[in-house]
Amino acid sequence: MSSAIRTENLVRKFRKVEALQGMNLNVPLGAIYALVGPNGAGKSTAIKILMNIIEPTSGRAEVLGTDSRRLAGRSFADIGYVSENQELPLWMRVGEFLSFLRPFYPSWDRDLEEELVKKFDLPLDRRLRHLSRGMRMKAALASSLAYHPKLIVMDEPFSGLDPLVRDELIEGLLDRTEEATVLVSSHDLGEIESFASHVGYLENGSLLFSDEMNVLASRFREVELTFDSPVDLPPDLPESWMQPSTSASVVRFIESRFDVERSPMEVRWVFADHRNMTFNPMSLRSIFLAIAKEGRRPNRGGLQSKEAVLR
Amino acid sequence: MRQIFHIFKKDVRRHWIEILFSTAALTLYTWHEIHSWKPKRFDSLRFWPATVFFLLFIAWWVLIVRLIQGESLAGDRQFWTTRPCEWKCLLAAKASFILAFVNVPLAIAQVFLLLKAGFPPTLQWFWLLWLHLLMLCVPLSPIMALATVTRNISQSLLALLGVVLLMAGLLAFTLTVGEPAFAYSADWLMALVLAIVSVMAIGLQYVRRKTSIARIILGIGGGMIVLITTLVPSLTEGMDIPAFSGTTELPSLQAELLPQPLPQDETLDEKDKVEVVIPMAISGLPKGFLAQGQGVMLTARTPDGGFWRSKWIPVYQFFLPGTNNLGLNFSIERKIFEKIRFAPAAIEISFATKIFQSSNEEVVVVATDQTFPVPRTGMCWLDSGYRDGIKCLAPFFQPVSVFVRVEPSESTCPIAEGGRQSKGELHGWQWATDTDFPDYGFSPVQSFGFDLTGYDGKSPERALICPGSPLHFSFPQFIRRTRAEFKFNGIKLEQYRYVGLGFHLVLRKSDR
Repeated sequence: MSSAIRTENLVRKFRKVEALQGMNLNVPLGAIYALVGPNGAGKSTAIKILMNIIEPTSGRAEVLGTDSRRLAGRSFADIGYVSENQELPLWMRVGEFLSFLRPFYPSWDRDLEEELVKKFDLPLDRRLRHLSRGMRMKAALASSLAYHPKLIVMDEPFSGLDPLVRDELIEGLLDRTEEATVLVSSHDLGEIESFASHVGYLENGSLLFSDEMNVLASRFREVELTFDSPVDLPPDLPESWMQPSTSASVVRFIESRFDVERSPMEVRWVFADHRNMTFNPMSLRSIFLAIAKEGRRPNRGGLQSKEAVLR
Repeated sequence: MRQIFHIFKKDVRRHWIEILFSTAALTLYTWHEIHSWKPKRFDSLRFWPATVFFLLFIAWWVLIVRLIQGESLAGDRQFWTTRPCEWKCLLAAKASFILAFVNVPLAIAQVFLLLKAGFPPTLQWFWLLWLHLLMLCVPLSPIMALATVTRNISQSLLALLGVVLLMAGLLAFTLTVGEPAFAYSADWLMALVLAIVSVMAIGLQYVRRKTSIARIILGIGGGMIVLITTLVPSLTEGMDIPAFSGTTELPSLQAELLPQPLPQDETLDEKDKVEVVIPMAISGLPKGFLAQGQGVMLTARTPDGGFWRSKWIPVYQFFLPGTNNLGLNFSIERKIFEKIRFAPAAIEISFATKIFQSSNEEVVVVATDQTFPVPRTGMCWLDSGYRDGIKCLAPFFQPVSVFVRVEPSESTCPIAEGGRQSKGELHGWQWATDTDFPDYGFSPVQSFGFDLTGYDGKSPERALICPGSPLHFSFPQFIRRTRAEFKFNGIKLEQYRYVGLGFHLVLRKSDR
């Protein structure tokens, strides 16, 4: 088993709405996989299918080698799931909550539990109902890490949290990544950029790409060309050039298939008379913004052309 | 097993208030049951028994709904579904909780009631189990099922409201159409349907969490119950009547129409139907016989060709030897009534009855000022309430047929100055449907009474039973069903038109 999670043509329909349109996802063992995408992209639906909270309309998903539809009971002894939408037993005190969960997990580690409680500064005698959202997420995460899960799945765990709490959660999570694969969904790119090893971009139920972070970062470059005089954009630009624009004697675009040798040659072939050419690395946020904007451009045909660009 | 106990302990911690509330409601119910055996102390509070029952039901409903929804099965946000919690353990923990805090306290209350009524519970354990099994079918399983397909108490309340409305509709329908001929069987069928769909919904939710399908199953169950309620009366209409046909008219049974003045106002109400109440006196039942009305049918023919026939209408009047007064109530379509109301009609009244014969066996029990046992009946005592008579308690079953007779000459009561001693015998009769199973209810103790009355030809007489008075108990046997036909000529139905308070519907126990 080389993948912690694998899906094949996963489709989920809610009446006429297709929330997932044949998603093929592969999360390698040991990866910290960030599933990103705008709100309503289908991230939570995908995760709920993986956790067997809902069933797919068609296709299949495997989690730690088990068909997701068969995940139940003891299968969850190796999986930690934390979601912003999860309804916790709010009437319980933090200590009660952890004590209640303890007997369900054969691998529950009391020392680790204590360590997590200290690390997250959890008030054991406070009811979950009286905790702030951030503290509740920390309690949920502590309860999902204390048994050394092989897979940690987190659905929008950082949404709406202040940076300090978010960093504490990430730190707590990173401490456990040596022994676990992590799948985390988020619509905030900045927050996952610092720790994800892999990233997948989901939009309108389709996984547009899935790659290692360093590969992705190396593929995208912001290109700026300077000319001696104002220049018009030629009609047929390469498909991999996104958002080309011109301003006086400067042409800018984003190269989505950057190659140290091929990309400069291609630029020279289209714009032979440029004076200067720069290829700047991009942040993950800039890359996704570019992808999202590319999809909304009417003359490039939406998603289809975006997929072509990213291929 | 460890998981079951762990979840159980958590639920006890979580729901201690609900446990307390339901225990208090059960205590109140038990206390009320015991006090309801005593003379009419609560007559001023007619709503009291219903309130106590409602409280107990609500307490259990809240307890079960909150318990099940502690680990909600509907929705996609519950935390426990992604924890290593086996559905079998969860279901077993919930079932154990219900057993521990609904069934066991109720069983304790039932044992207490049996002991208090003077019946050894060790002899009744089978029927105790039977009642609990019935309780599991209705209402526990349906409550559980509704709790599993709803997300929270508000949704459950809405669902309960829907069920109450449905039941009210069905009750209204039953009252309009009349009791189906096979109501008893229909009740069993409905309970069975309810239990099966509930268990299916619960199973589906715990094993697969398929809320939509579970809701559909419950909906289908509700639909089947509606069908049973609406179809059984029409399918079985008249099915019990052939049993009466072909038998001979009782030669000695006579009927007389009691005179009625014509209504002064000839204007009919703006209703589709006109109510007609025919007061009759039935006599001629030989000594040693008893009869119980089953149904009555009226046929009216006028000289100008007008014709109307009612359906068989259930009548459960008892007839004793002597004169029995009763009023027969019929609804006639307004248009038909307008045609025949003033015409001198020939009317035929068909009376379907069950005939019982007093056995030769007679048990004489001397009344005491404490409870006294009556063979084949139960524990009885003199009811010194507003109606003199005897009250009795029996475990699970009411006696099928008990007849009690008091000889005035044997009375040990002192005759008050100016008081009047009864001249003739005083009778009382207790009758219940003969079934192999006890009636459904939370209480294992059946309470019933004998109103001992007589009639001296002028006015009803009260029984005079005091400690030391002998009571003659006998146990009439069912002989056969029969049908009596009474014909009257020249009857104007207008004379018997019900005009509200001007005529009182009489359906009272036999007066002699």
